[in-house]
Amino acid sequence: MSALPVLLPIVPLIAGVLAVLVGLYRPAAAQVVATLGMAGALGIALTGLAQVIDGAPLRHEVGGWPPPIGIEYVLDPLSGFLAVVIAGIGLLAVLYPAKAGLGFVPRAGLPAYGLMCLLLTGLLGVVVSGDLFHLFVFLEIYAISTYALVALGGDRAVFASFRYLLLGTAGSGLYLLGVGFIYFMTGSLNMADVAGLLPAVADSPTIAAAAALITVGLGVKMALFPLHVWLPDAHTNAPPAIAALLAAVQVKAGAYAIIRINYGVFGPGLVADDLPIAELLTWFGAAGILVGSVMAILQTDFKRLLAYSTVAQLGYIGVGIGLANPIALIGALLHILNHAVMKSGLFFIAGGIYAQTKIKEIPRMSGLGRKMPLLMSGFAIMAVSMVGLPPTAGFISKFYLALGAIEGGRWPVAVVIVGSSLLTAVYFVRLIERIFTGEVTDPKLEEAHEPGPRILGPVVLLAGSLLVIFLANVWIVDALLAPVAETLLPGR
Amino acid sequence: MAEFFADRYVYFFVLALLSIGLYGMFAMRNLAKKLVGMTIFTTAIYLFFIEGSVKDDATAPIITPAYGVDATRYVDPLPHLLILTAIVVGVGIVGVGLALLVRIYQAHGTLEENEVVARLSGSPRAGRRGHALDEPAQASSGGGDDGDGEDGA
Repeated sequence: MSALPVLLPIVPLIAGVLAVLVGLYRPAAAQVVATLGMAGALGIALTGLAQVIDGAPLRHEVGGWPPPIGIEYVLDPLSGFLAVVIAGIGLLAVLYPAKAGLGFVPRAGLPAYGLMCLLLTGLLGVVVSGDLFHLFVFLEIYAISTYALVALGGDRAVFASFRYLLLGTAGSGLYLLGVGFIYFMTGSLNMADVAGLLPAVADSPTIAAAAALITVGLGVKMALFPLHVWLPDAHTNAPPAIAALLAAVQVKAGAYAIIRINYGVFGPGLVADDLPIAELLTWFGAAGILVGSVMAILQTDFKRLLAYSTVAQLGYIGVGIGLANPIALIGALLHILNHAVMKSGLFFIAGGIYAQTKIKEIPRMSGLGRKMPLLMSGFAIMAVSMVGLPPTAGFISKFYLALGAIEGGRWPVAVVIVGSSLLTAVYFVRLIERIFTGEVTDPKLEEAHEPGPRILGPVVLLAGSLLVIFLANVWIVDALLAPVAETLLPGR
Repeated sequence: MAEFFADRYVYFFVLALLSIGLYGMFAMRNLAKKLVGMTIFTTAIYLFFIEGSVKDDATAPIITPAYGVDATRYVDPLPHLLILTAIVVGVGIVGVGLALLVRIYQAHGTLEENEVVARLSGSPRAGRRGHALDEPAQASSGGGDDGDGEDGA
């Protein structure tokens, strides 16, 4: 028994409560408290990952009650990987300056940073929870903070947040219903315990219904096409730092839960062989890639383009999960990391551009490369990575996904994965061309200059890590992701 | 056939409530009615759990001398606990939803979805009711965690 798994969500929770209290008197100090809390969470996540990477998973029994009676927190390599991604991006998001990140400086009593800590508490809780119902509670913790944070973006954001609240609650309701089916069939809620009890009742239609309800419910959380309808509005209208958090890590918690429950609890034999769940994930993922990419090409608002591109990138992750072979799952997990780095960086850049120039429409960004060379170089690296060209991280995950599709004999899916890189190239190359070779047409750009180091810093760091991930990918895959995929999909 | 339905009537009742809730959430045009639909939907799930723990010839899960420690004579307490938690979560969500509704009403003076959409997509000056879109609205006192009038749009 180790305290690390339970400390992971508790440290940001305490930081969140402190940030709210401190924010009542010193609004600026709330950000410092949140930053310290997230730095602590990142430290714990890294320590935990280092301990589990080639050892047994760390387990914590809450209150000393052993599972299956008590609630269990488990930190295994998959959870540790996700926890590092979530805590790392979370730290950058709370570090990002409030004026550019939220669009305003929080006044006393507006708990923006407390809510961001609560959002990260929920996300970290989802990845360490070893109990199906406990996972539902964490899903709702992060969902509630998301609704409030999205609403900070003004009138459109409030409406988008309300629509998201309806869909998100329907999604978690379906998940809860599925958990109920499992509980009444097996009498247990502990994931490891349920995984052992399920084969005895796996033929029952109730279990099939449970798998379907849970996957659909988590599909809403993950915004997998066609359940993505809440995402474009919410991500476009949320403030940039919040949008970065949502696109980079919040939707990934849903993807994690789909992987964990479908392969870790139901098992690939049930969801991939007996039921068409993995098959459907693959095809809806492929459809999401195409729809998201085409919609992104049609956008003129920069953040909306990024939001639709998130839909497409989540399609890649859905495909990687659905193909149900270790290579594709490695691709999906690597894409979770890569997309988190790329998309948070792109939203930070969008926030930087808006803070300096008040511009969010793409046509008006012409010539921006001359005014903000450093920020736009970061943009270029991220765009290249989104398209999936070497020497950036995006190439590696798409390579594994395409390889996994060929391995599984799904040629149409492989064609979609490679072909949609061209669609992605259409919208990003168009942007790069306009930004770097276009003349300055907008009068607001004449006076524009590079943003300060607090905006540039995270962008440069994220752009740099894309190159580092490209170089380190063999190590990441061999040491971490390949064993994870082999454990989840043994012998496939 | 009649027996089949009589044994399972609660599940059909739950299914009906789930359908009514979903219909309310997605077919109603009024935002407040959508929230009512959401509440009905979640309540149906609570009822499903409670029904699942029902047992004939059993009593509340407090050990009494009459029944001893025979587990079959006590109802399963766990679904009740789960649903207590889920109800608390649900109250939080309805609270945030109502706070957002207050904020939408302050900004647009209506809760009809098509009117709000028209005002958000069309010219913000057209058909102005309530507060102006480009002026900070009053922060709702009940839910300090919803938007507080920092209009970025």
